[in-house]
Amino acid sequence: MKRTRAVSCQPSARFLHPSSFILYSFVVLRRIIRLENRFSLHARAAARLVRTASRYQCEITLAALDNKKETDAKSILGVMLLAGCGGTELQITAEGADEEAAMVELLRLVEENFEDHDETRTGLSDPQN
Amino acid sequence: MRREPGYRIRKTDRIGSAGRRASFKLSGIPLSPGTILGTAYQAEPFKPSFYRLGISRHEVSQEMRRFEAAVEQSRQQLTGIRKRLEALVGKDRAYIADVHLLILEDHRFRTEIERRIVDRLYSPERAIRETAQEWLSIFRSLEDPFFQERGSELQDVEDRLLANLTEVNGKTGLIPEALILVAPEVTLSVLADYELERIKGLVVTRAGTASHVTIIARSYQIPMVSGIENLIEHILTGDTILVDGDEGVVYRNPTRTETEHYHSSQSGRVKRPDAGAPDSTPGMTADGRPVYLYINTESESEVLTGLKQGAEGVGLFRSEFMFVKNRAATARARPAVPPVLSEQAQFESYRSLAVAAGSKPVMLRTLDTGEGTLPVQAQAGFEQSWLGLRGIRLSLKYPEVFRLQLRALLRASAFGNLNIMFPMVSSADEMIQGRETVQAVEAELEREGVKLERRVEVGVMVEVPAAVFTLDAILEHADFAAVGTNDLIQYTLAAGRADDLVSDLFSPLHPAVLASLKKVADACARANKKAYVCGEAASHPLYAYILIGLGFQHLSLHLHGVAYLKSAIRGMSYQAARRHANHLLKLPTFKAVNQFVQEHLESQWKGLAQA
Repeated sequence: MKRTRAVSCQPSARFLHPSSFILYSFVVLRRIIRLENRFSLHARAAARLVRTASRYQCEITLAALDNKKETDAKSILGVMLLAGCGGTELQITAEGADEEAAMVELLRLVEENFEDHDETRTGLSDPQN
Repeated sequence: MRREPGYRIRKTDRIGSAGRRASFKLSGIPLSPGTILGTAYQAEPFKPSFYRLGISRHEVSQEMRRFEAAVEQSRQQLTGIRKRLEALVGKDRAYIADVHLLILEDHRFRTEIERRIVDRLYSPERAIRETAQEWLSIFRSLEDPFFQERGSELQDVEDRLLANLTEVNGKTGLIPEALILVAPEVTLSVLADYELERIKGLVVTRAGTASHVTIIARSYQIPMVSGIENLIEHILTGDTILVDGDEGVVYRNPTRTETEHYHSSQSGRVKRPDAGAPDSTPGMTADGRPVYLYINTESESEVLTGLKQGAEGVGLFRSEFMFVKNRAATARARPAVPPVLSEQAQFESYRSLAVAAGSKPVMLRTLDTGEGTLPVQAQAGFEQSWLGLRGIRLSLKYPEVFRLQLRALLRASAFGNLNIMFPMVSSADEMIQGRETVQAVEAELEREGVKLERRVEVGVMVEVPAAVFTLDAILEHADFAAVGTNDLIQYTLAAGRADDLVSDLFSPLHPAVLASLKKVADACARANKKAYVCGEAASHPLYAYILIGLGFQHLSLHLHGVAYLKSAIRGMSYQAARRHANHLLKLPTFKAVNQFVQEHLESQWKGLAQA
């Protein structure tokens, strides 16, 4: 799965056709989540989501089902743009060795509304870590 | 007016040698009290004006190293900033630095820049600019201004990268020991770039009364003035400026008289009490008229501090902040369905608020969206006027959200002295509808077996002129009234407080505003109901003096002003205040009022404050 472009608000080239769900769902891990409202994925939540996703090796994709946009969940710019395109129904796709662990943690994060419980991990980009 | 190339700050104080640039007075909005004289320092983001466009192939690895070094340096700066922010505003709010770090780390952003350097042979400067601008244009294309605003974080990162690339760093080596930060907009990360002890004052063009920067300025007692347009044209780095955070005035290169006046008022000023010196005696004028002071707040944690400072309760609790704090920002430009926060979450919040205040009254304003209630990242639209669907209107339009809030509130009311007030009421009809909803929710709770032990008072916020004129009718259904001066001024005078062109007009001293305030005080006295004032105006001793003179006895202000105002009130005479207020009401023009205040009251208040 090669990703080339940022999420834009023009119709995405990677149109999510329903048939592809059936096909892929046997191969990759895929879950649909619902956000409380369209502001749920605000900057802090986006940062938390990206930080969490970045801890895993697997490829993680976030797609907004209402408007067919998608982005790499490890890109903050992509996630912030996705949030800005509106839509509260998101699909998380994880593909790779640690996909299950990644999915579990991401779902937990969404469930807890991106609240912070584990602050011991300050993140990847901290050189002191 | 351009900044001279190579202009450097002189560390020496330039008072007296200020002949180079004329002295000049600028008026803005006071955001954090106190007065300070010092050297201005422009916190402009550095933008290189000239840089190479292209590089040759053999330079690629060298230029890539230069780029990597800039990234690394930015990373270190941001990590430091995050630490300092955590210390300043808590881990919760330090996420802004985290977002910046993540943008720096964003592999798509990085790859796009690197490709431009390696494949297209762009200089790193050009590559960064072009990539950032491309992303920014996508952000700008978003329909929702709330998310458009997110682009500013990217802008911040771009500026930082460019500055580090050009090796214009070592900022700390350059900046003087004591400086007054001057910038169109001060973001949290800009503020954290400096050592806070060095910042003695803040002058900005844009900042909300409830923005994080303002809150920090107040808690660190840094005088701050906002709302000054074209700052960069007026104040240069190195100018000596006098910032008066009480009046909202900035003098550039002040004259000797102005400086002396500042020094004398400094010595005559009521000493700002330290946090360790609380004043628990009740507020009272010199001639024995009790004046009760309350705090305006949006956080439960400030309540205890406020009570320690001598407040009698919470005069305004902005409940919508809780919605903002909790995962969702209230919609701003366009009215939208307010975000729903679960009843239990609200209940827990209100309960801790009620418990913190104990037996002291808390006036909780139901969901209101508007100026000053926005989180720091959503400030862009704060200049706009707030007409239309907000306050009680919004609550009545979305009864489910309203009902949830009332249920949580009423349940929590058993734990303290919690009361309700409705914002933006413009007629008795809305008050009746609101009140009926409260009664319906009470009945509903009782049916469910929830015991409501005390009667919760339901008040009206007087912010719309329509409410002033129908107050007698409204008060038949309200237990108390609370004037929101900022909104009342704005709606009465059709002038936004951040609008520089009409900022002279935005004053509690305008005859129409004075007359409205008088009308409210009288109506409440007739109905034998309490009248609170909970706008910025109450925090200013001079305005407080006039409010007391008009008959108000319940003033609500920011917690850091309570002890200060209390000691100022102790020096005031109610009889004199009443005489002066009555005189002001008779003056025909705004000019006459201002003149009278300048000639008689300013000196009088200062004299009184010394006593």
